[in-house]
This record gives sequence, C-alpha cells and structure tokens, in this order.
Amino acid sequence: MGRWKKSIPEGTRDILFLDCAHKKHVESLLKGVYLQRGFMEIITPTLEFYDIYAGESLWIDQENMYKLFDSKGRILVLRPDITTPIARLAGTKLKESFYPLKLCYSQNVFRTNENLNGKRNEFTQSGVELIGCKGLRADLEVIITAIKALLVAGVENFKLELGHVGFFKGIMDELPLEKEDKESIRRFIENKNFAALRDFLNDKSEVLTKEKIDVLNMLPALFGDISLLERAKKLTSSPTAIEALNEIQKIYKMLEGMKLSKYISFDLGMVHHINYYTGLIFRAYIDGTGYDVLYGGRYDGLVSNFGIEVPATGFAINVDRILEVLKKENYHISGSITPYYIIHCSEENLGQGNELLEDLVKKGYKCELSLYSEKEATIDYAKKREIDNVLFLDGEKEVYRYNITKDTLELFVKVEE
Amino acid sequence: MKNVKIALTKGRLEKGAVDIFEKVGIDCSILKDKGRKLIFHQDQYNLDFFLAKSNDVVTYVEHGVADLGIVGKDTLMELGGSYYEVVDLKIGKCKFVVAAKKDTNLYSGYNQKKIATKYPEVARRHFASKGMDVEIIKIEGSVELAPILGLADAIVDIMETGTTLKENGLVVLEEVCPISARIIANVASLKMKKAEMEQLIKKVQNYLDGRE
Repeated sequence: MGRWKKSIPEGTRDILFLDCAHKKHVESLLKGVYLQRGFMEIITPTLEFYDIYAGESLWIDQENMYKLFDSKGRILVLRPDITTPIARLAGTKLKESFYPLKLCYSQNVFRTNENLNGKRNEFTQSGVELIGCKGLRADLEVIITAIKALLVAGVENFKLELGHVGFFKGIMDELPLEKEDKESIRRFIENKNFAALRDFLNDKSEVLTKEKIDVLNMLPALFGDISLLERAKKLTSSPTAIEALNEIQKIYKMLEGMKLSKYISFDLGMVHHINYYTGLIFRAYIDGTGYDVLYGGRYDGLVSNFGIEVPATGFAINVDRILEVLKKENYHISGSITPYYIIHCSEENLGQGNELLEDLVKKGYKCELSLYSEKEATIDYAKKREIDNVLFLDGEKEVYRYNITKDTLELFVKVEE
Repeated sequence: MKNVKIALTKGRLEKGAVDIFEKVGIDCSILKDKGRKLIFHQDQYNLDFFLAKSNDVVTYVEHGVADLGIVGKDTLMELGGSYYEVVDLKIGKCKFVVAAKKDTNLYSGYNQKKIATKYPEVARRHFASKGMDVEIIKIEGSVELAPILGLADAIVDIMETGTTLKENGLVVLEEVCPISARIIANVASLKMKKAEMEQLIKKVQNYLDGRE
C-alpha cells in the first residue's frame, strides 16, 4: 500500500505555472478561431460506454483504451477521442437539431501507450466537427479553420497535407484481388514500404497487368506539391479516383485564391484508417517535430453507427505537441504569471490593502496581498517569486514602494482620508 | 540544404550501410575513425550520423530526432511503431526460424508448448497466425540453451547460416520470414525535408536496383 503515493501514472504529467499558462493561452487562441467562425463549443463526458468505441470501422484498438467498470458492471472507457462522442451526440440528442451543426471542443483524451516510449497517455485535443454537410464548402471550411487555428496559435513552418480516400479506393476497386491482399497493399502504401510493396506485387503478376503494378508501386511516392495531381491523373482511369483528384484540385484552387495555398502539400499515399474516413483527408506537420500535430478529414459513415445517416468532417489538433514546438522557438505569451506588485500591510489594514489591490488590478496590474506580517518575510517571498515591487501600507497616509532590483524606497501614493 | 540526421545500428549493419553510402558517393570517412564521439557531421550533404542500439534507432526515428534510421527488419517486426519503411538494403540477410531438438513434435498433441525467444512479439504473432496457443518465455541471449536445458519445447530466433543451431543439436522446424536491413524514415521529416531525404533514398535505391 502507498507504494505509488508519490508518483503519477506513466504518460501523464503535472503542468505547472508558465507551462500551464502557455497551454491555456494556446487553447483559448485556437478556440477563439473556431468561435469566430461560428462553431459552438461543447463538453462531453470524460467517461463513455465502451460500446460507442466498439465498432469495426473504428481505428483505435481496444488495448489502447483505459477501461473500467461502473457500479452495474458495464464497461466504461476514458474517451480516446472526441469525434466518436460527438458522432454519438449527433445521432442521439442532436438528431432533431438544425443541420449543418458546427461544433468545437478542447478536451483531454486518454490512450494507453507502451510504457517508457515517450508518448503521452493523456493529452489535449482541440478541434471542430462539421456535421450534416457534404461537399466542397464544408471541406473547405474545415481546412481554412485548421490553417487559421495553427497560424493564430503562432505556428508558422507547417504543411497541411491533403489526401483523398477516393483516389486509393478507386484504384483498388478495379483490381481483381482478395480483400486481404488489398489490405496488405494498403498497409505497405501507408508505411511507404516500397520494398515490401514491390515484392508483394511481383508475386501477383499473374493476376495484375504490368501497368497496374507500376501504378501501385508509385503510390507511396505520390507526395509533394500541386504538380503531383496532374501526374496522378495520368495514372488511373477510375472515375472515383479522378473525381477524388478533381475535388482536391478544386479545394487547392480555392485556397490559392485565399492566399493559403503555401501551407498546402499533398500525399495521395495517405491511406490510414480507410474504413473510417470516406473522402478528403488531411494532416499537418510542423518543422522541428517528428509527429503530425493535426489530423482530420471526412467521415461520412461514423454517425450512422448511432442511427442516422449524416455526412461529417472535422479535425483535431494535438495541443501538447504544438506547445512543444512553440516552446522550442522560445514562444512567449503576452502577460506574465508573476504579479507586478505585492502589498504588505498589518492585519488591521488588510481592508485598506485589499482596496489598494483592487484599485491596481483595475488599472491592469497583477497584484497580490502578502500573507506575512513581517516585512522581511514579505520581501523574502517577493524575491523568490520574482515580484519586483513591494508596497508598504502601514496604516499611515502614505504607501511606499520598495523596488527590489534597484533597492530603492520611494513614495508611491498618498492614501485619501 | 536542410540537415538530415541518420541513426545507424551499431555493428554489422553500420559497416554494411556505410559501404553502400560510400558506393553512392556519400563520403563517410568521418565514421571510420570514431574515438568516443557519438555524432558525426558530414559537410558534403549536411548529414549527421549517430550510432545507436537497434531498438533505440527505431525510438529516435519515431520521435523525429533522427530523420532516417538503418535497422534490421527483426527489430521492426518486434517493436512495431509508426515510421515509413522506405528501402530494403538487402544487407544483414538472415531468417526468423522456429527451431527445436530433433524429433520434437511441436505441432501435434494437446499440451501447450513453450517457446523461448528474444522476440516475443514475433513469436506470438507467428503462432497466433497458425492458431496455436503457446507460452512464450523471453530470453535475453543464447536462446539455443532453452530447449537443450528443457525450459522450452522450441525457440524462435534469427538464423544466419544455421551453424549455431546445428552445433547445439537443434533443427529448423519452420522458416518464419526473411530479414534484412531497412532504411526507415520519420513520417514528418520525409515531408518537411522532402528534397534532401528523397535525394538520399533515391541514390541508395538506384544503386541497389543497379546491383540486382
């Protein structure tokens, strides 16, 4: 008993002071962008029934979820994502609501990673979901919001990479292959495992034409700038695939018109969670971090798990990863967590002291009331806390300011009678 | 030119990889006389090489502190993780095999079999795919000892020539899969440093294709 009393679980952490202020600030910047664009914030429970995550189309494995039982023995999970609870909402409470629904959130999610591999088991996702709207306008709205959110948060060297599930599906549908073989090919393309893909396809040379094999071999390398799309169009005659490319191209043109295209790149070999996503998909990378910091896309099938057929798209930003990058770039938020003044006064004068504090706060200064009755103790504390100005209020008419750095004492204010 | 960091698995694979790099015109002389240094900067292509244990190569690449890594397929199979596996270097070739003492009846009978291995995940997946329920015992070195001493019915291990197995009276029951060294790439780096990394990867791939 008590062996773990002084530890915290692997993959979690305490976030203190300046780090905490940074995080809350960035979260509020992101949320600001969503709210300004008409998204409405929601909060969902930290605990959900396991059942909502137990569908075949879901991409999170059960071993990566924290599970517990409620008092009736039902299985609960600490939510591993926010999109699924929102789909649940859309299919139940909000079923009769107005559509399209524009929702946003900033909440923690929980996933169990292998211990000691440096990944977080609890982290904050901030994002939007646009439910009940198909087509270019909705996809574009979500992508613009994503770019704006990253920019407003202070991230600059990023690329938002677009892909489309339809491109891969269109090409694969024309192949005379078993489901398992298609899944192997998908996995090789997702991991850009050129060698394994090539070997695998060579073994299939009896059922696949050389032409088709060549095209498949090229898929993992299909990432880069806009010139890629024209190249990709020559590779396939599948109407689904061509349609997908046209969709991406249209989005790109629109973004170009908005001067946002410099943030865009493409990866047509982005074929992860293909049973989950149904259309345009995207993720963002920042210079200086090895992970994606944002991912999203169209998932028209998810809400139907909860009873109604509605299209949906959205994205989630990993706030903690963004913070790591911003920290590396010596990112500073406006304002500080250190008060400008500390007021020292005797017990009888606390009322007066508090009045002075409120007055200074009104003027925009961060200010605290000393908890000590000894002057030396207050000064000592102020030094440790790096508060530069100590105000002495002794029940006299004058308030004196002692500046710690300069070691000067001067008249600060005359207290009104 | 953006800096590209390459993590090399110490030992045999390092030598093989350096050979290939030199063949494609990437000067690796800095890696010849190492001393106690851990990171080696190469000006010609603005590369940083560093040496690590195989498992750590994967960790470094996953976190993006290394952009590229050179590591055996055995390690990748055991650890999993998210990275791009971009080139098969075709060096360090060997096989995962199931081996046991002669006349071991591993695939029959109803008793649960014990498997000793340095690669529990590889072993677990292999027997699961065969529908066999086995008990896996993790051993850190000289796995061949386990069946000899009677700790396990069979082993799953890497076999290069088969000499060690033979000398210890073990026979191969089954080949699981071939193994060779791979270049892996961090998912974000491959996009953010596309030009530099693609150039390297292409050079190596072209050389390998030409050699075939």
